[in-house]
Amino acid sequence: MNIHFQFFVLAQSAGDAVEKTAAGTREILTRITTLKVTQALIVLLLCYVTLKLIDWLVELISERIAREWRLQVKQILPFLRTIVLTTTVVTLMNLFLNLSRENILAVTGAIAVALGFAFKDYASSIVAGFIGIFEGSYRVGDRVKIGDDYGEVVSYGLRGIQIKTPTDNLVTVPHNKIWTEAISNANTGELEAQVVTEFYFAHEVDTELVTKILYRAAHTSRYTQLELPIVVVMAETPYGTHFKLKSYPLDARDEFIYQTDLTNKAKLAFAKYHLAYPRLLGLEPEPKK
Amino acid sequence: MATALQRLKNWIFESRSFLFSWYTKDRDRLQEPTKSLVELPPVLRKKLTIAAQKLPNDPVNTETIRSLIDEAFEQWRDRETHLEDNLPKNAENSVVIVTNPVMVVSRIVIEIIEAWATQKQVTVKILPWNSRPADPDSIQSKLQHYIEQDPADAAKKTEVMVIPNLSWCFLRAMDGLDGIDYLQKMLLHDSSRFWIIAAGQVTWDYLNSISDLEADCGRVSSLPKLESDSLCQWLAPIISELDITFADPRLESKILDADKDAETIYFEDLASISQGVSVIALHTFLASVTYEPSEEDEPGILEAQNPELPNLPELTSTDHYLLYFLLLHGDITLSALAHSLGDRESRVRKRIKILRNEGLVEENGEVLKINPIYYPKLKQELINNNFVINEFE
Repeated sequence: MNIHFQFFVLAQSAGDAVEKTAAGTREILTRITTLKVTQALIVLLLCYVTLKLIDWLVELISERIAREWRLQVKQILPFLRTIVLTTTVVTLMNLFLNLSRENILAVTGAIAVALGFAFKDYASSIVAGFIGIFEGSYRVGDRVKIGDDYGEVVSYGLRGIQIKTPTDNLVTVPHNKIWTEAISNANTGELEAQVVTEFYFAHEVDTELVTKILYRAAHTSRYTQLELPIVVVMAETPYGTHFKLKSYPLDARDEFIYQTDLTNKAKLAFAKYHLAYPRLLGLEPEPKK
Repeated sequence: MATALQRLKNWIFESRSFLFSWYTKDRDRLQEPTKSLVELPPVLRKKLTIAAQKLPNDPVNTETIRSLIDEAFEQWRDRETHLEDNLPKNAENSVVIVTNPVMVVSRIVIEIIEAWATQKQVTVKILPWNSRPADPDSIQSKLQHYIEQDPADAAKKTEVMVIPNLSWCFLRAMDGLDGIDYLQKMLLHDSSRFWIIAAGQVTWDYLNSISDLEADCGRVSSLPKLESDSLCQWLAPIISELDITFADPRLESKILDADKDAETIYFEDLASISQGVSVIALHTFLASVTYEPSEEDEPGILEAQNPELPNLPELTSTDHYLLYFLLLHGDITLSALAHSLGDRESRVRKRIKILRNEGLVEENGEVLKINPIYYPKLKQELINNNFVINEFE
């Protein structure tokens, strides 16, 4: 009898707890009606269309106006996307939840716990993306290197960015990489990014002549931004003398074509003066004098 | 109040190409045809062209160049005298006249120098080129040959060397800058000669940025902007010869400048949009002249409409580089342009053909140059696209 009473008490308390939870949930959730579901679907559809429209419009404007405004326009994209997404989430919450102060705390706590367990990385990426907007580790139009991937940031999404690599691949990198990875940004919002073109010569090469040729290559290339510094540095290595020509193109997008132009111009001049390249194991023939 | 309004009007006039550089352009929209002399009857067109060709060099620029040369030369000659007296050297051996990139002053300089040499009793050597040597590799040797040959009149000690167009002495290519290195060395070490050099603003800025040429030169001066009165006086022979009248000014000009006549307003607008550059003003003036046929047998009238600069056609990134190189070199052949750009000649020819049809590029024989009427808007377009073009001061 006693045992039965204890079971009855336990069952009653469990039933009470379920009822309390149900009541709490009922308090937070408003009545779900067909109209509300329809409204929510329309809101989601509008959000999707607006995001696509913003993407298209920003891309269209930024690629057609003067080059100096390109990056500024592109950098508006994440802000606009954030505004649209935040508005959509708030609208949906207003539709389905009773947003009193207590309820907001309860919902936020519940979501935080749920996300913490189920979508840890996803949540981390969203938070990192939001922080990244203000921190400016990378912006749309910047040329960045994250891990092994290098290229231009072409899109700034909720979860990550998309990088267009020199081989035209589109690499998606989650925002939460900014917590752990080093982000190398070549232009940080500027139109120009330094390009380093490397050359190797035998130890006995006329360094003064090589330096003069490299400066001239940079001074005559159509892509060079002459208002920014042009520097030639060199270092001795066991296999030869290593030269680096550091200069800036007018537009960071021309990085690789610029490098090619510089190399082409310099190599033509090197050939004219028969400059000696490094010789491995001394097997290659001596250069012509 | 009226001055403030006038300033606002001028500012809007001068800045409109910048203010509207933000708008997106419709690539499919056809460019409005540029008003040109083609719309005039052939006889009148010919008369107008001949009158423009007969026009003398504008007196303001001519006088400015003359006084610049005179002043710099006298300072240098004083220094030469002082050297013998062991007095300090304080004047350099050259004067550089920097002009708008579409304005060629070689003709003015040569005209001035001929009379000036007789007056000053000096030997003058004018670099006898009227274009850039076809082989850029030979520029230095050709310069050296001409500059270092013995003076014709060895009895006269003072020698003046004139380079009427510095852009003919270089090509922006690996093998095209040795001439500038040589000139720089001569300017620095040869104090027995006085040098007169004329160069376009873009050429001068480029050479300065790569070789600090200005450090080795003496006085560097640019030409003043022409005022409306000077333009009116300069163009008066054409206006009187062809009996050109002036159309009613725009409504805003009528309100702001109610006390001025149509001709005064026209030349104020012309000076403003041409940025005070004679060659741009002349082209804009010619483009603004229209023909109004008479109803009866009497001949029609020529009327100058409100001056306007034509809009630029849609330009690609390749066009920007090409047009900048045309400004840099002043006038250049197609093969030299392709060599300088490091591009295939056929590719450059294709783009040039399009730009020439749009009116942006002029082709005279084999020589290409920018149509001056497009320069103000082209300059803004290039600045907006990160090219360095300093203001013509």
